[in-house]
Amino acid sequence: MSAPASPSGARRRALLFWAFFAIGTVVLALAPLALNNYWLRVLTTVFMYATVTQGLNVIVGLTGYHAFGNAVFFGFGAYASGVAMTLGAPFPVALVAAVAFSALVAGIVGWPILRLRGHYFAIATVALNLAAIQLVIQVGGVTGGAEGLPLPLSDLPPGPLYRAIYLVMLAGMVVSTLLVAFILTRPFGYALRAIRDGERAAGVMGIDTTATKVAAWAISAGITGFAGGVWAYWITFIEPASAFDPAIGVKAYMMLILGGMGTVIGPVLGAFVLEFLSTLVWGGFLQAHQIVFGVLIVVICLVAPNGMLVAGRSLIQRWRSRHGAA
Amino acid sequence: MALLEANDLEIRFGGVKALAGVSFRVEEGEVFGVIGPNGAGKTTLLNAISAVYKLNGGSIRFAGEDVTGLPPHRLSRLGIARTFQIVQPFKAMSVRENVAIGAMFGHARLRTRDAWLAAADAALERTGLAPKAAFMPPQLTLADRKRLEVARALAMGPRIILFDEVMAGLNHTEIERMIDLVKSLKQAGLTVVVIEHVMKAVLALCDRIMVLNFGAKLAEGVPDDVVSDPKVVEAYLGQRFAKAHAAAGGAR
Amino acid sequence: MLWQATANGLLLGGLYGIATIGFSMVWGVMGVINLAHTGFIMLGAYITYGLFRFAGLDPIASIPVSMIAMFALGYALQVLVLNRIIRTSLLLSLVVTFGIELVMVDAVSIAFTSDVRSVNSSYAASSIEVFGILVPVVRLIAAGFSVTLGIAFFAFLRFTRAGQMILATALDREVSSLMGINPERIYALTAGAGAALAGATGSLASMLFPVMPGMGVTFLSAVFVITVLGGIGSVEGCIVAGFIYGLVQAWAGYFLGANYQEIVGFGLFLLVLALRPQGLFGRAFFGEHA
Repeated sequence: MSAPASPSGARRRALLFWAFFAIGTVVLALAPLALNNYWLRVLTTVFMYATVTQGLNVIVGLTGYHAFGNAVFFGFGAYASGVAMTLGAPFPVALVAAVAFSALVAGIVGWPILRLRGHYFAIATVALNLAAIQLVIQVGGVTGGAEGLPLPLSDLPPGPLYRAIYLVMLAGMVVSTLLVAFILTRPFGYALRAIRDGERAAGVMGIDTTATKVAAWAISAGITGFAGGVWAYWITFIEPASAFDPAIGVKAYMMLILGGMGTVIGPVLGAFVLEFLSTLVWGGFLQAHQIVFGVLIVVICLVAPNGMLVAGRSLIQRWRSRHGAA
Repeated sequence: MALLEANDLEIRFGGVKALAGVSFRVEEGEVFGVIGPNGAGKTTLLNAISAVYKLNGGSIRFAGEDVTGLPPHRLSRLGIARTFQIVQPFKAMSVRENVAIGAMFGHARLRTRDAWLAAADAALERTGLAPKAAFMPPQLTLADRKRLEVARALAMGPRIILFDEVMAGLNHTEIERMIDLVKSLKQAGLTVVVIEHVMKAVLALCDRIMVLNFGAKLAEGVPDDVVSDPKVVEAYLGQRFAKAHAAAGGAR
Repeated sequence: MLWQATANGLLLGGLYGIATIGFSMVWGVMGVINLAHTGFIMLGAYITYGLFRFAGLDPIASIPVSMIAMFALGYALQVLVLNRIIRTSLLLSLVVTFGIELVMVDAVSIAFTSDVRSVNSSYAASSIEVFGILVPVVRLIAAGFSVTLGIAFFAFLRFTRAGQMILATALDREVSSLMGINPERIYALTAGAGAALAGATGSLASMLFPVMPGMGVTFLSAVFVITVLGGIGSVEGCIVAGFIYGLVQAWAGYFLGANYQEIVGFGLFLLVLALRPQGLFGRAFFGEHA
């Protein structure tokens, strides 16, 4: 444990952090002027995952509930926006539908499921993910069922369209990060952290634990659903197996672990590092990219189970003690 | 009118009755002790009152209102606070933040950040934790962590505090300090229920005592009467000792 | 027709039961939710397919082979990977086992392509008629072997020294290690035994279902539901819950339509968690206290 930092030092660090954050946002917002299509796509993917990971951060990092199947809300968001657009809604309205529908599902399913703890909650969310795939297929009709759902094409030419999607995804990442930072300063954020560290004590200290958890999951789902909604419009064709792919959630989990759980910027850092890493690595292994991803997961969990910053710090410490003592 | 009134409380785990119809009243301003051998149902009783466990039967009234079946957070806002025997600090928050949570959510009237922090600082001052306000809970000694439990409960501005073995694991000096702390709460007008194994503390603090054994009430009364009650001695020390005690005219 | 559906459901139920035992034991003994479990089932099926296709070995004769191979794989993965992260968090074990599953599925896809294969033994098409119900011989064999293996595993836990050590470790890791049991070795043994049962499941499943890299995942929701229904870490619970699950699936298919499997499974799952979270044969177990 480090000694308590002086308030003025903490404030200076926070100021510096937000200055960097603002500069980074501006640079990324202007970047499409200089980027080619390949890097535009890579960065859009990074922003998408950063948003999904930030959503995961709310329920896992802040609240301590391991929603392993959280990618289900990515799928619900994708389908809500896809169906809305098929019915003639413009893209912004479809995005609102994506956020609202995902949050609503979490709000409803959350009441029974969030009574469960630990392992039970984790597999309940995985079961929800599996069930959602079947549900979309069964509902059929307007969702396109097993055949998938093509979205209406945009009037914009590809260049401006992809740049617009890039900016919307960037906005998702920035806004969800600001939202997490904001939550952490509010009583709601304290309530979430209290539930994470001791739910029973939180309850007897006056926190309505059930309502707070459901609200957190709805926010988490809304953020995740936003990313799914934009993604659907981006790739223009969705099907149950790809929209509800559990691997999306697992990748977000890896980013959360790498970046640091319960932190404001961790999900963004994790998304940048893992997505760039996998882009570099997959370039060389087109055949076996699942194997590479699987091995990457195992290696990261063994080497940096508490995030890359902690792993890096302990590596430096070990290096120093070895070379300093000699 | 009794501040806290419990009637026929019953809690079952599977087929086992952990509480088998316990009734008692706690008057405003008194220190009420609950003692009993290990496994007698003391902590279960506390969990039942604070709604950590659901009642299988019975009812609870607080300040004249029926509060049976209310969830824990509602009880806390009515003015019922408790501590945990196994301390449960929020380990990723500073001591001051830990205590402020109590003011933020458990206090019925405080609405602003400044009011929460003021209530937290007052509670830290009262429990002697003020110098350690910026510490993280893992840096505290056990005695300080027990005090942190008390401070969190105090910050909620309660009318009654239920103490779950706050003395357990402390040394003599620390127990003396804790006894003084509880006495000061009584002087300030708070009603207190203590569940305790440390008899020295029970005798020093309590106006009245209830003895539990096998989930049922064995005796109730002022401390001196209760500890010399042969039934109580027997429950604590075993039958043979109790007979010897009686034969020797042991009852004071 | 309802009777036919009932019979089919019961016959499949046995297979679902042993598909779950390993998963449930690993969860009960070491608190790990092993998402790679269904990968062992898939590999078991491919071992049987490979031996049948290239060596002409009867599918039943290949059961011991896939059990031994999967035991070795499960044991090795536990020693090399899972034992090193088991104490950190629930989260890591979920992520890591998902990663292992990805590797297995992708490796098989590359080796065998993702084409659908099948194992057609000589008795594949034959069936016997009992009271007007057609009972396919392969299903009968699968159900019979499943129950036998389940009982054998139950006996292993109750009557062997190793089994007793597994049960002791499941009840209390600290106390058992004080008694001189090395928990890491017991974990590896449990993981190996669980994987071996999954391998046997795969061999049996290869006779009933198309063999393909994604076949394991089709067992996933069944495995979840049966684990929770039977009570975590309970062998007898798995077998009974397996039959219940098989019946519910068959009836859901009969009354509602064929594709309601996951949805009905999820409904059953929520129902169990709401009404009897400790399962039919449940008891307190590692990882869920406090």
